[in-house]
Amino acid sequence: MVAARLDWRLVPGALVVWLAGLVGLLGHWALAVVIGGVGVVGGFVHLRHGPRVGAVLGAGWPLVVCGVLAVCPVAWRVREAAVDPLRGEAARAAVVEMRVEVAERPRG
Amino acid sequence: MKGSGFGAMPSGVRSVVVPVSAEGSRVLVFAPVDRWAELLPGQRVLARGTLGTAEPGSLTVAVLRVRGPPLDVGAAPGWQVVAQSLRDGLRVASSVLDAEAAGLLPALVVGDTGGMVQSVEDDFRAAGMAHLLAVSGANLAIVCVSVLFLVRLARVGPRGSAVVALFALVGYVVLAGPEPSVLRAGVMGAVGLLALALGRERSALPALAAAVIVLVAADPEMAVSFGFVLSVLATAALVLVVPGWVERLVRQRVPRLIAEAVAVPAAAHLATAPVVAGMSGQVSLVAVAANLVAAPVVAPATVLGLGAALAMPVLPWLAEWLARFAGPPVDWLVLVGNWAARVPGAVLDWPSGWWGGVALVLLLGCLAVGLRYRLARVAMALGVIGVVLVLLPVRVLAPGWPPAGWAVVACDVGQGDAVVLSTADSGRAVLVDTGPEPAPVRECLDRLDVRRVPLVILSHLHADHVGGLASVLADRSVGAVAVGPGRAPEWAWRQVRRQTEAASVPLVSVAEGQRLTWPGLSVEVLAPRGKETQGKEVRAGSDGTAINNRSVVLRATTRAGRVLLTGDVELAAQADLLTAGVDLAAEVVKVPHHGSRYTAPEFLAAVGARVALVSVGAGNRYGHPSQRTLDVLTRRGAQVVRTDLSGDSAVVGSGVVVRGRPRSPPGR
Repeated sequence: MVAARLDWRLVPGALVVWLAGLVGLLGHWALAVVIGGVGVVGGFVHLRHGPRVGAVLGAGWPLVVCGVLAVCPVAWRVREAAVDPLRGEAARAAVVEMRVEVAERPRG
Repeated sequence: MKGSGFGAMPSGVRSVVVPVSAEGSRVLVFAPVDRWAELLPGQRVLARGTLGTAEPGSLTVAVLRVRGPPLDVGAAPGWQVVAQSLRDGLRVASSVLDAEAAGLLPALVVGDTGGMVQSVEDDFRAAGMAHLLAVSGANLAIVCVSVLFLVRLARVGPRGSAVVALFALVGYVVLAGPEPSVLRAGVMGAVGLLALALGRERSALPALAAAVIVLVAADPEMAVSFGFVLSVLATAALVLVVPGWVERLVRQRVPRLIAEAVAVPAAAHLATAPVVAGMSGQVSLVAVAANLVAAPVVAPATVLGLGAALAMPVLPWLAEWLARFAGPPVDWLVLVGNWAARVPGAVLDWPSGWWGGVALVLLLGCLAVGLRYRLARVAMALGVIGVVLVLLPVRVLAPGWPPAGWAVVACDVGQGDAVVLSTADSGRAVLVDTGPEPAPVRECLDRLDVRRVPLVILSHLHADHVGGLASVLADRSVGAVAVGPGRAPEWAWRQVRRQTEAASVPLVSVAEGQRLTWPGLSVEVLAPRGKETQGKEVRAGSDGTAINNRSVVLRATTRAGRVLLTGDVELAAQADLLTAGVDLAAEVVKVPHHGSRYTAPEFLAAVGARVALVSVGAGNRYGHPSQRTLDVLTRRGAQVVRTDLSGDSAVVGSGVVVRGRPRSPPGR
């Protein structure tokens, strides 16, 4: 089996970070914190009680680190965008003059 | 932003979206093309406009709608200027090729689709080859492998090779533009290389996971980006699925090279198909085959194109020759896209949205499980044979479209008009208006197998009636293009003249009272009326209503009876026709102006049609057709046929036949 040769240790952590970004943006930034918290707790639980053999052996520490990453920077940046003061201006359809820096090439 | 064009607004690119940073906040600027399209990342400008709320589900906090040009434009970073000049150089070098290849080469090399011929872009999408038009991990992999090959030839050691490859990777990212999608492609390309080139499957999965962690942590918006999802799924398929499939095929005595060539596109397509289906509402059944056939030339074309971009500033003649060498591979890609897009049943309609994606995942899961059991395999094989036996005659040998003996077809071109009038000669038809975009009218004429168009009549010069002219002129034999006295809007008149001149097709005028005949078809020009327009070009009065009221109104006599084609005439022009006592009676009417409310019940009564064709786009923002107009038609006993609900709609001697499968609303 090909799968048996694969190293899955980072996969749970990657899923935690991705899921945090997903639910943070599509739902609420606090959900990203929850996902990150679950990742950290899950990582510690895995370290204490996880299987000593198998494909996810050693996934505990990466999960803890990724749980922290899910809170900061992911949840933090989602929160910053959610509470940005420009959103209020946008809701009022304010006419503004602003200095901006082009981030990407203009798309046609 | 490519608009379909409507009314006085031109089709094609008319505004751009510019992602900007405003003191750390992400803002999307919607701006006119003029001067905004030339900006480069890193440039600081003053933007004046109206803020609006951004779409939820992203880090973008607002959109800024700007009307004027950017103000107080700062200098671009030097490396961005160099990269832009290289990209421009590639376009110039590519211009030695024919138009289709010249547009495709920069798209293939650096994702620059600005010069692409629309029909090629459409073909690539239908064929499941659109990923070739954007910078992806495959581009980075091709660059790295090519550089590694060269440095190995020069007997550079492993560390030196790695450093050179890294520089090449960074250089390519700078050339293509260090944007999130390109950076993502860079990381994913490196992972793909790790999996395939180095043959270390064990380290590929952690690398993919690390790439996801780094990319989402650096830019959380990646988590909701379709491009990111597609990249991860395709790379995961390369890492998890392809090695196993290749081994199995090799055990079946398939040469390894062929096994890899088949396994890579098949796995990538299957892994990404549910997401693509959810996004587009379509499943390409030819994508694997098309990509398999296209794959061998992608790398040579990319490398030669890249060489042309790099050589252009110093050795333009070399750049042109490299572009010429890239010509045959690029022509092959154009050909493959064209063939694949025209395979009957190439694209399967599928429910879009989350449920469509989930449904395809479940179907593929059932297939994967089923294939493990002999009985299920036999049942599936029988099922496939049954489907082929049923579908092949229905879809290919005896297609339901076009219906036999069709006289008139209102093409489903979205929000616009394109009406085809059949002649007695097979494959020969007159076209009235060309819709808002090139692709829909071309596809409609293809479906009808119309190869010769003795006359294209443009009722008036609004974009939703003339936007598809280029594709009609490009793809089939056209005798002439006819216009009425209206010459406004000016941009459209210039465009029509340019396109007809380029195609060497005569541009002629038609006037009230003219009668044109072909075998089995005659067309009488009823309007515009009035001495002031007789034989004169009318350039003034460019407001929408004035232009609409100068629409050419035609009455065609076909094998299915008389057909009144009304362009976009509104109340004033309708009143002129009524007061002049013009005989408007017809069995079929193309309802004026997409069924707008500016249609007089008296006008419809004077026509007295039994069939009312409403050419209108699904989900259009103009509120067409008006319920009031539809009610009037229904009360008069007319059968109302709408292209937004029925797709292409044909009038045959015995009634109306619709094709179904209407075009999706814009943005879906």
